[in-house]
Amino acid sequence: MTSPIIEIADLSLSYGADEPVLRNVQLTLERESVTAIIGASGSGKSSLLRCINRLVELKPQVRITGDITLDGQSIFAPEIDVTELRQRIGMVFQKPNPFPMSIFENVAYGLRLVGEKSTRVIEQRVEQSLRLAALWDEVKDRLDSQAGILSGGQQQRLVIARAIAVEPEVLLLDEPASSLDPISTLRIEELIYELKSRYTIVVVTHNMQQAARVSDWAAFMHQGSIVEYDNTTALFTNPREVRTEDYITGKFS
Amino acid sequence: MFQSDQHKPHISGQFNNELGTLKNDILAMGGLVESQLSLALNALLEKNTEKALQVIKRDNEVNALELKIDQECARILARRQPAASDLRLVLAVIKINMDLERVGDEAAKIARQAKVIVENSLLDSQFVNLRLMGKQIIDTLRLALDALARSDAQLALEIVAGDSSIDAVYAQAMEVVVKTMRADESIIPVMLNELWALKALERIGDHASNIGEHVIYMVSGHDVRHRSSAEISNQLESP
Repeated sequence: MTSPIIEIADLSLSYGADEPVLRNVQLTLERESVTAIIGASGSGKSSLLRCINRLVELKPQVRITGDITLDGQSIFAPEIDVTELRQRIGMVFQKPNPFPMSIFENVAYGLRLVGEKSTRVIEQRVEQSLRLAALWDEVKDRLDSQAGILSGGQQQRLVIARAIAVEPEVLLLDEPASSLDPISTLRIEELIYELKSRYTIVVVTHNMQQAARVSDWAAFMHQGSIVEYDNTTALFTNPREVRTEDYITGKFS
Repeated sequence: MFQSDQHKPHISGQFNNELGTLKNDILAMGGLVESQLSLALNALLEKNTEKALQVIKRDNEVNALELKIDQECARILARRQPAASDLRLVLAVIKINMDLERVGDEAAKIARQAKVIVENSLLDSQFVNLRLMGKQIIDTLRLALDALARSDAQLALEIVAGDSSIDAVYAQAMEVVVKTMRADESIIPVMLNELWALKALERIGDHASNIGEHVIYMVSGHDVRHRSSAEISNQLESP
């Protein structure tokens, strides 16, 4: 690994007095590459993702120890503005969640939020983001239509366009294709591949074939810990840990 | 590039690239092995040690490319879960790769015999049979690679069907070799070398025929191994 952008060090997470959801997670994320986090439901992968942009803190009684650094700086440092952090680390969820407004306004939303006033800049950035999200050709003639009329796959690409409009450094994708049909899924995967030349992408998925297809690095999580973390080809052809082998080959463990 | 590549690309551009690289590499492997065989035969027929040494040295390249192609195949199977024609392509490449590597081994064997012959000054044979059979085998191997490059099942079938004629040429050549040995014991050492080289050529013919079978499987989905060429013909015609 040559240029880490995010380093997760000894990170543990628990809610109130419950069992910890994350246990001493160590993970270094490579810049401009795709890292997949795989694991069964409840293994902690979504919680880990939500720590990276501090979304997890919205839950009550959350307790975090350890540290996450972005470009060498702790994201938990007191001087960090969480809104600004979430602009640098964008997120896309499982279910496409376009806002009840036009296609154009959906993408422009974040830009207006960060105070962009120039119509020209906003128009440019909306077009550029929709192009990057491979959606422009499908929507360019109906930018004023409500986003709700788009198909599920298109909505998900719209949400990705919205996330990249504010030029984040990192994109967190939480099961970005699990509610989509196979062809829309392949489109999203291709989009992920295209976007990694500009962004660092972390994708959580319980579809391990998807992880095998899209990622450069893959981490397998089990009961809140990282069991194995390796380049994706190695992890899927010759895992070092028996628990990884059992999971990716679909055996009982 | 394979001719079938004019058809529809995958949604995943990266998957396209990976399959494209695989196809290029297996064709490069074919080209490398073919040139090894030509050079080895020239070494023998021209009694040229330098060429023989070159073949032996380059066998490493063949082996390295074999490993690289195998790794690519494993990677594609593990990460892309190929289906239908993509799956058949990867399976065919795995097998063709193995056959080509063996052709490379046989070429290296011929080169080693050439070296022994020159070093022991066993220079009086003209290798008439070897010359004839060598040309036929190189042509067959080249056709098999053409069939692969063009995804041409019909051409592949012709190669599979032609293997029995190669076997006949081989049997004939053996007869001549035995007759020559009987007539003049002093020539036995040279003739033994010729015999081994003939055997190597015959094996290469078998590998070319195998490649033909793999191409038929890749293109049509029919596994035609262990079948007569008439049966294969029928199978290809039925939908």
